[in-house]
Amino acid sequence: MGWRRSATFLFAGLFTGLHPAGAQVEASIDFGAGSIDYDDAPAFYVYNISPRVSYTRGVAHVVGTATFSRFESEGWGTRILSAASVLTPTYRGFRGELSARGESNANRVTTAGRELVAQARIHYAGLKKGVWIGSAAARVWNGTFWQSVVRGDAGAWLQVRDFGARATVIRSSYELRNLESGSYVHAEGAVRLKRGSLELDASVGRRFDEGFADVLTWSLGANFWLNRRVGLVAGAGKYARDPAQALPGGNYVTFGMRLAPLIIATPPRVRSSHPRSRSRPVRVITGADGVSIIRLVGPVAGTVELTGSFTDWRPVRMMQVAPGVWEMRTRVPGGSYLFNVRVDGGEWVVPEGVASVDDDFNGRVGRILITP
Amino acid sequence: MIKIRVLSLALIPTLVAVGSVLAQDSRLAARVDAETQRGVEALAASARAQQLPTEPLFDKALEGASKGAPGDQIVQAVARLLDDLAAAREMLGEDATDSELLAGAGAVRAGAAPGYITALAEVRSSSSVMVPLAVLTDLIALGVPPDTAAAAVATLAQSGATDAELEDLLRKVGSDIQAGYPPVQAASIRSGVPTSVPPPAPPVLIELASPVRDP
Repeated sequence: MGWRRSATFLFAGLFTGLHPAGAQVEASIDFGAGSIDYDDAPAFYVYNISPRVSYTRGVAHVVGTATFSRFESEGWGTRILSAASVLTPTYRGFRGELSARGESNANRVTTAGRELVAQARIHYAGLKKGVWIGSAAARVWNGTFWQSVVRGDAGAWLQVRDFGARATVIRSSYELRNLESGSYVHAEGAVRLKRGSLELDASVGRRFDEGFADVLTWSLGANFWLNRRVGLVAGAGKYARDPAQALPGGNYVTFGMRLAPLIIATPPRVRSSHPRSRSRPVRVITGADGVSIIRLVGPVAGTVELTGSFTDWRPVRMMQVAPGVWEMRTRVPGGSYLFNVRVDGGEWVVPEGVASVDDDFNGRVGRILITP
Repeated sequence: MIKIRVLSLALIPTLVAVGSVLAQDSRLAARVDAETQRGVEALAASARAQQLPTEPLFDKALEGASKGAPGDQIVQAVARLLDDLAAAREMLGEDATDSELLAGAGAVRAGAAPGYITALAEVRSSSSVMVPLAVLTDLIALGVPPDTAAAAVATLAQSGATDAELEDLLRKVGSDIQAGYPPVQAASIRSGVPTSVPPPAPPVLIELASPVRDP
């Protein structure tokens, strides 16, 4: 338990400065072994440690992953990736997405590669399906020099209960300073299924690489959770080369164990000087006779008035039935209503803890749901 | 005699409608100036022509009047609500009831994506979608991000949750927030919907959430 407590302390401390209220940090780490067969090198065994940390707050998402590998014979390899994305508010089903990504690869078999990507996308998304189109500009280091890469992508996704599917087409153009230039198109379909403790991923794609033979790519992955924290992971697949980073394609098989998720709840901010309470500030009790009793708990005062869409927005005095407990009776059809209260003739306000929205008149108005 | 009776019956809805309009006129007349009243009534006439409910429009005007808002601000607020009701009608369909349209308009204003609202209506095709929409709006009003709120409500609705169970979710999330939990986390914990990759996950999140590939 010591490592978890230390990690909690570390991450909580790290993100406290990032306005953590409403935020979530997740971390996991994989330990595994596998076999890699690069296109330009003989197959060899490898042992991996792969930590992953993500931070989500509202529409912003930041993730960092790394893989540290020990090769069969000797030497280490690393792959470090960090990315951040932010989504715009939705307008008529459309929303924008801006993201940036940095990636670094280094190992003894291939040359070192680095990539910095800035990407913009437009999504048209609903609850269960969506489409997107986007473009990206990248600066890529292939071990010798930097070059520019331009990418465009489009795709569609579908989510039905625990089944998800995604289709993507990417076109990438690159130029390697008089050495090589070209472009490729990669089309891929992927599915994800979750059944109880089992999560399955599969994808199949085809790379149409200018000047090279077409390559069929695929992947299969499975994750079986032994309990909430520990899972077994397995994966196999074939992927295509990355001409810009000068990384070869290859085949792989891996097995391992995943410790996840480590979810850290950073301490929320308390926005009010009121003592925190679990009691509901406003409660509606509707009897069989159709009369609803609106009960307000909180203010110990001389008078409490209520006005709302069920009183034609005329103030109605509430009756004190116990110290700090105020009631009003009304007979209205079931629905969502708006209201404000006034204590001792003061300002019209929304009681603490009640869902409220902009009232269009430079103030706030509380929402209350009355069901028949 | 029969003709007179038929004529009388035919006139009843018209008289009721006229009476209703006059009643609304009288409510407004005592609370707003003549120009504001004319502006609100013109918008109500537009709503009637689109077969949209008018009561919420008068109600909004009365709210503005009770808060001492200037007339042009009241008319603007009513016009905005009319737009939201029209948008809700588009998302919920012609058969939507007045209470569903009003709840839908609230969800639109709160920032719920149209796709979510339509999908909720599809999930609740055989029963009223009023409560799910109201719960969705209230969750957002409590500070839960729209996508997370929509995912929470949709997940429960898809699994056949009743109105009472959805209200229970709202109560529990509200209590958790009052107790100091971040809204996004309260909604996630109470609904069982993960917050890190809320459905629908934007593709970049799916991409980033994929297992790390080869070294």
